[in-house]
Amino acid sequence: MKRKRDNLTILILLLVVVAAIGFLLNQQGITNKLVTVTGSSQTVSVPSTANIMSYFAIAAGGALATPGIVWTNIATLPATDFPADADYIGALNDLTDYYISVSSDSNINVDMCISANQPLTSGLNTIPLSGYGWAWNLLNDINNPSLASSTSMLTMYASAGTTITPGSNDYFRYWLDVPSGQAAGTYTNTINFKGVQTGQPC
Amino acid sequence: MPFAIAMKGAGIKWGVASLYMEEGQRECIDYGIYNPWDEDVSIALKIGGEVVQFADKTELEPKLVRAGTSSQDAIFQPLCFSAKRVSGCSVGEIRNFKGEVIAVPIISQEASGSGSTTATSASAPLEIAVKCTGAVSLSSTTIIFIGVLIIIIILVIILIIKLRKS
Repeated sequence: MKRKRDNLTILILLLVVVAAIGFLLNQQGITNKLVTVTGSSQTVSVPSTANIMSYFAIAAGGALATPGIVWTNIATLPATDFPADADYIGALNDLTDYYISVSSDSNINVDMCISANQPLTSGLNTIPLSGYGWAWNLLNDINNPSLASSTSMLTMYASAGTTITPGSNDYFRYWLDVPSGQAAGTYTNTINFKGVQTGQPC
Repeated sequence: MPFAIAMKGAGIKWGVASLYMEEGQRECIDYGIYNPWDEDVSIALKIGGEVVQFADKTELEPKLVRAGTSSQDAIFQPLCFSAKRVSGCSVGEIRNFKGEVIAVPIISQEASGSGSTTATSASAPLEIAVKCTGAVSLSSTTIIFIGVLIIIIILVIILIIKLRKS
């Protein structure tokens, strides 16, 4: 009688172990699954794959890559809408050398986003971002990107170019306001560019 | 035309932009990184937005990707998501979480005067829909603990049987 009861105890323990293993497998999805999109309650899962891949690549080009957005010639203060070093270059001083390229082997269009990590900073001194103007355009000439269409840099991402097709560039110009009495120093920050699929938010 | 200069950047390749999961479920998605540009670069994958809360890892170690690597030769890495219990969500309800996976090239740049260094990244959208079931997602530690417990129980049962036989 005692032996039968012991056997029953062992059986119950075994069942508990099996149930625990089953629970674990179910929780972690170790069991084989088919991801199905169903429109009705009765479905049969058939392995069917339509693998559509999206891809794009971007890179900073020209002066945006090296040395970055630099102002070396601000001699007198205050300065208003002072153009960055590579805003107007070329034989006719009509082209900007700040641009982001979308690689030609991309298979989607790209929207660009821009932000600053902080104001231009030198030690404890800063030049506010409200005076850090920028503009974008898919054209690059004396009139584009234009000061008239410029806006102030923010620390959160803002739209900086839409529907940039594979193999083309998004051009930028930058202008800086420096108030009178601004302490001397080397002021730096980082400007972030993020490419997203056209239509996606920044 | 802009002046010719060696370009550095990153590419991202993806096949899944939305994921449906039930609470307690875990899924992994492969993301490709590539570099069609002129110079070798290390690229890290990072997760941003609301989907961060479901990510097993929010950032992967940077991988060196050779210059001229096309999208066809992208290096794929899995990113895994575990749908933990969504607070305030009733059973059967579906909640959507928006986010992104970002390929970030590690590029060092030194400003040569007053101004800004620049950083670029490429982002793939990712939305996760979680169906609330009331299930609890187990952590790795819990799984190991339960596994060890099960093994101990089995050993005890074997020991009992052996002792009774002898």
